[in-house]
Amino acid sequence: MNKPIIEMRDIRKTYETGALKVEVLKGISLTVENGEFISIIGASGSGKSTLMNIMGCLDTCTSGEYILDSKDINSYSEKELATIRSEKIGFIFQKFNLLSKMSAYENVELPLLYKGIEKKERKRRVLESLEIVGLDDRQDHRPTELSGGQQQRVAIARAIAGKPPLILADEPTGNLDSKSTEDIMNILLDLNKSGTPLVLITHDNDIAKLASRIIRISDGQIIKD
Amino acid sequence: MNIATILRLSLKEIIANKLRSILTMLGVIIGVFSIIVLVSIGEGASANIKKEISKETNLIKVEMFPNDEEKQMDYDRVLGFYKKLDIKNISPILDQQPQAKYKKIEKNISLKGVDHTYGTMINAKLKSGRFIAALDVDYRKKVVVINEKAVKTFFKDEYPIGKDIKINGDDYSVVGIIANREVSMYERLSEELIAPITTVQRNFGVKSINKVHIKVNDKEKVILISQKIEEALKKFYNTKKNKVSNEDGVDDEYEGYQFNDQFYVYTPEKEMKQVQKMTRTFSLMLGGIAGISLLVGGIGIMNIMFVSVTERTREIGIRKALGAQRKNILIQFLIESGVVSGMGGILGIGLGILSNFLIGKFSPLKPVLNIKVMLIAFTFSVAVGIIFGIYPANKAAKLKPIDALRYE
Ligand SMILES: Nc1ncnc2c1ncn2[C@@H]1O[C@H](COP(=O)(O)OP(=O)(O)OP(=O)(O)O)[C@@H](O)[C@H]1O
Ligand SMILES: [Mg+2]
Repeated sequence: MNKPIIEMRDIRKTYETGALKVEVLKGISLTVENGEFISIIGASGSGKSTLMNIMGCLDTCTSGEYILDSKDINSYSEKELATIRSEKIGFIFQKFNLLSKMSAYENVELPLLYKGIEKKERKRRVLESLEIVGLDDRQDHRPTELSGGQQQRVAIARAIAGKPPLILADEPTGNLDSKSTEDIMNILLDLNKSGTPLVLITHDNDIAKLASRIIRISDGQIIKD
Repeated sequence: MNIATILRLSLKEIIANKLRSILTMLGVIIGVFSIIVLVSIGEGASANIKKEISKETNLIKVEMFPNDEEKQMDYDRVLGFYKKLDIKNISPILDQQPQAKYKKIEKNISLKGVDHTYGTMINAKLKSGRFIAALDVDYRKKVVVINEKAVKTFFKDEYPIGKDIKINGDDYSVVGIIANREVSMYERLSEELIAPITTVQRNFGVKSINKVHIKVNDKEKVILISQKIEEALKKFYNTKKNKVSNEDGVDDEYEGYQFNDQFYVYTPEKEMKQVQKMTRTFSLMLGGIAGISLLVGGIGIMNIMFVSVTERTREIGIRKALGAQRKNILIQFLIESGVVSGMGGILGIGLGILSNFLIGKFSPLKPVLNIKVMLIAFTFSVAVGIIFGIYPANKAAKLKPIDALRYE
């Protein structure tokens, strides 16, 4: 009954830079069950972000099979992939990636606009998400008027506002101090406890240990699950 | 994502980059501004002429330039010629373009030899002094009535009446001043001097006259009478002989005028048609200029939109990561360029209205602005923005999310 949210089989990714071919992912197979919290660790350049971008449908793999929420992603068109990103995935980036000319409220609202959610419901969800990350009093602040930790909390609110069935976080605490890191991790853990599966990339072993499963990647391959 | 939100965001973007936006708009602003001002001036001028023409609905003007010396009409012959027709007034005129001189000032002017009927014929507005009288004509008095422009040119601050002005070697005493007459957009307001026809004839050694103004009793009969005049003149000049010269291709050159080698007959209706035709040509020319300047404006917009797309590659990546479809990005950039050029259009219209006001106040031109032109100019400017925005917007929409996100 409870199908896995992610099923990857023998995922490969090759970059071609001029005449040079670099295989960054060398056959990754991975299953993420619904409600799971998985952390991915590995040396810099080992291919973690590449893997996550494929998971998040920001990038496509060179070969292999990727099934997300029972859908065969490889056969999808650019348009359908955009819909998947809108419907299925909440992305959290190391660099926050907020739009600097918009307020916190508008940043959180953006994915809901693309989802075509009507105004009243949109407002309700934006406020709800900002409350979850504890920033309901900072709605009108621009990203430049917020601390790094607060910016990342806005980014989390943005990722969860659309209630996606999967949350992907690529080193969400990589740019933050220990206090902010703790806040962020508490929010993410709470989210996971309420049922949303979470895949998190980190360099910090303490953070990785919070997960129910730790996957270690080295040179484009899973060496430990 | 609804249009209102995109509009609001793009306005924000434009306001955030004020200087750049204005520079981007400049081409469109100048284009729209010049359309508004030029069209308004053209409309104003043609409205003026039309008003003048419609004031004189029963005026027929005849110009004669016979090839044959024998066919020259003199004063009495003209009066005899038109006697049979049902007309109210007739004014024979002799036109000359000599130099006039007062003290040190010398200038080419338009001299009209007329009789006492001419003042009423053209509804001359006498500013001071008197008009040419019958006695002046009878006694070949060396008197002259001048227009305000001539006063300005020759007399500056002096009081002209009673002063002598030299024309073709003879001194003419200024007896009256008339208001400048309306001029069309194709001729400049010139210094106009009016003297008794007999005086001018003697001074220049000509017996003939070359123009006749005729006022008809009944407005309805203008066309009929003008046709009669044409027939009579054709017979008089014996048109068969003219056929030869007609083959030069001069004939029918100007639609609306009865163009014959040896005479023109103008009626208000024909003149109106002529003005309308000229206005049309003028508008077409303006359309061309406007088209070119808007094109240049459009290229400016395209250029900046490319810069904007490159600058905002990361933003596009973020939007795509959050679920934006191609069409969302496409529409966003199209609206942005449409808004930029539309605002340029509005600024251009605003500037146009302002300078129309100033032109109307500080120059003899009376620009007339109609809503239709404003709407067309605005629509065009928005369209230019959208059309020239398509290419850059499409470039933005086609970016792959991961490439856009990685862009520094
Ligand atoms: N667009 C690209 N073209 C060519 N090579 C690339 C491209 N993107 C990534 N790579 C290469 O792929 C490898 C894996 O990169 P990736 O970003 O996945 O590493 P990572 O594990 O996330 O590292 P880090 O911990 O430093 O973020 C690197 O060696 C990188 O040079
Ligand atoms: Mg990485």
